Amino acid sequence: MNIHEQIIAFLDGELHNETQVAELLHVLAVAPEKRHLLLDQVKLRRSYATLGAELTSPVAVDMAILQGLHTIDAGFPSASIPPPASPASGQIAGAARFFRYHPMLMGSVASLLLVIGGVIGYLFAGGRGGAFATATAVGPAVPQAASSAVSSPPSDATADDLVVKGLRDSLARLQSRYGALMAASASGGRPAVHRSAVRAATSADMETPVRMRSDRQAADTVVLSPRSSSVESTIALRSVPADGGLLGGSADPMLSRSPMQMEGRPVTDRDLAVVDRVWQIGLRSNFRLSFPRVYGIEPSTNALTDREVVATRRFESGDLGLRMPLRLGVAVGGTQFSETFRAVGNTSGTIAQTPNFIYGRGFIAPEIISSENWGGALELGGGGTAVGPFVTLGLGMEYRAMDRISMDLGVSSWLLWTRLEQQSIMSTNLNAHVGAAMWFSFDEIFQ
Amino acid sequence: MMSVEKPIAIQQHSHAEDQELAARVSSGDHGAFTTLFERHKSQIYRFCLLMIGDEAVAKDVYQEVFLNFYRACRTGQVMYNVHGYLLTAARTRSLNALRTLRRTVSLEGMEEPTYVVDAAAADTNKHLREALASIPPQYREAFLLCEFEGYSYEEISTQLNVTRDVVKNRIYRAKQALQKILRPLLRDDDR
Repeated sequence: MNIHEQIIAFLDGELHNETQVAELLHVLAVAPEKRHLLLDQVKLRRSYATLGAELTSPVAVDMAILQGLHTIDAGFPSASIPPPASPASGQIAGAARFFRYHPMLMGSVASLLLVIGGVIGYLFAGGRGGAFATATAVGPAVPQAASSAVSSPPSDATADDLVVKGLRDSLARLQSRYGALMAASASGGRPAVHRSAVRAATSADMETPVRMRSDRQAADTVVLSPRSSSVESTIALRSVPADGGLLGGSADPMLSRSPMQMEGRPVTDRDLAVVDRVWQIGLRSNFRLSFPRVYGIEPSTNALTDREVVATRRFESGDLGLRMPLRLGVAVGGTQFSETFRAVGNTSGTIAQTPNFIYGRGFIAPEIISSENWGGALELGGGGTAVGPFVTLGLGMEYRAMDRISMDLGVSSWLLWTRLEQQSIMSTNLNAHVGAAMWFSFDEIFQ
Repeated sequence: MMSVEKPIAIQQHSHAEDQELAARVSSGDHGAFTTLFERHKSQIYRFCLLMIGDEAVAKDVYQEVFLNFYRACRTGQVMYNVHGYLLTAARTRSLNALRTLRRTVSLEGMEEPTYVVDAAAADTNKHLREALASIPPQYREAFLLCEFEGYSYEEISTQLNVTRDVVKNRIYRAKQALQKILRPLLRDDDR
């Protein structure tokens, strides 16, 4: 061990050998250059102490931790941070975390949705066991009176809930700018802000993506939900050229608390999450080409028109640990099956008929394509009719032409089971459809 | 035996007391968590900041440490040494963050520190932090545990799972490097 090492060990109280201590002290007494080494280390130790005393955790970060704990554990006091806009937001965020760590539950939820769809369908059909007997008669189907009643959708507890930590300034500016945009839009006679016109930057560090409705009023309370205040965030308003350009096609205005860094790099467009209606209700009608051809309708045809009321909940990628956006939904509608029922295990007997069903269904639809105006989704669903359960599998494209209007194009397949005269009967149906839907957010309807 | 008092004393609370508080946290006592947080937050933040060198990242790591500590308590994990747990978590996460930042310096770079002190712009704390950031993480963590957290070489060797001689060597190299980097500042004081 050289003298320098001995000095450092000595100052650290780690020089235990008495002989070494004596030798060191002797060297220091007779060698001025060695004393300099000692004095340098003593000065440095003083500097360490000063630095250590000055470094205290920032209050804002401490508060963010306590707020984060409040989000994890709703029972944890939210420190001095104002409570979120809705008391349910914490619970929902907690549920999101729960699902993230229990991905298998997603499957259970999806299954539950299907069951709910089936029950709704059964209820809407009034539990009429005789419906099928009526429908099985070959010949013109007797249309059933469609009920216009729609079951109440679950309330929207999370869509606009926030939480905000450290982003209030940005939000104030966002609201200010957004309000100005709305005003400009109104005075200029331009259409309302496109639903994708407002985007919010989120980061991987945020537990819940920012959510905001495009039709939000400027004076509304807006809350964001980052996990911590230390996350530098940017909130941006963006024009949408396809919309005619609210800002005349100019460059996107950015409202930012610069510099925003994400994982050590500047934020780019791919970090921006499209802000969308989270809960929405749609009225959808499809013109359908059905195979096989529908018999019993005069003239015999395979061109039909379906209609349904659908309520969906959209999840962004990252929500609940998802890797892609996803919609869960329930729907009630009316359709005419064009099919040939075959008895299971008995291929000789077929029953051609065209039952006109009211159905209820649930579905899960991961979006495989998601852009400003286009969406493509695989849809797996299931539900029930008065005569039995069915499952569906479909692939569809959606073009969001306007704020509320979307055009649909796709193919789907239905598989229906039922029983007739002690026999299990199954029927398949392949459809190509093109249609349109009109969408509303829950708030617009229920507030 | 000669001994020199550590400049920054940290062990102001007994492990048993912390352990009891942690047990209360697991049963939902939020006040107990706040007490533990107040006790340990400054040391953990200081360690994260000096270890990582990047303030924004250090804040994130600091938060993660306490949020995960709370989760661990709430899931019933027994905390025998709260400070040790927090410091280990901070150390592990800081090293991960450093890997992400790709700011690690090779051991060979030790002899030629990249940071050069401008004595004319004297801000000792800033220079010290920059100098710390320029030395290899292995040396830096041993140095921080010794100088700022008050651990003995023996305790550090246990923490880092290396021998006492390795710890002594790392601390020596760290202090030697700091002395070399900050020499202009130190000698400037003499004038």
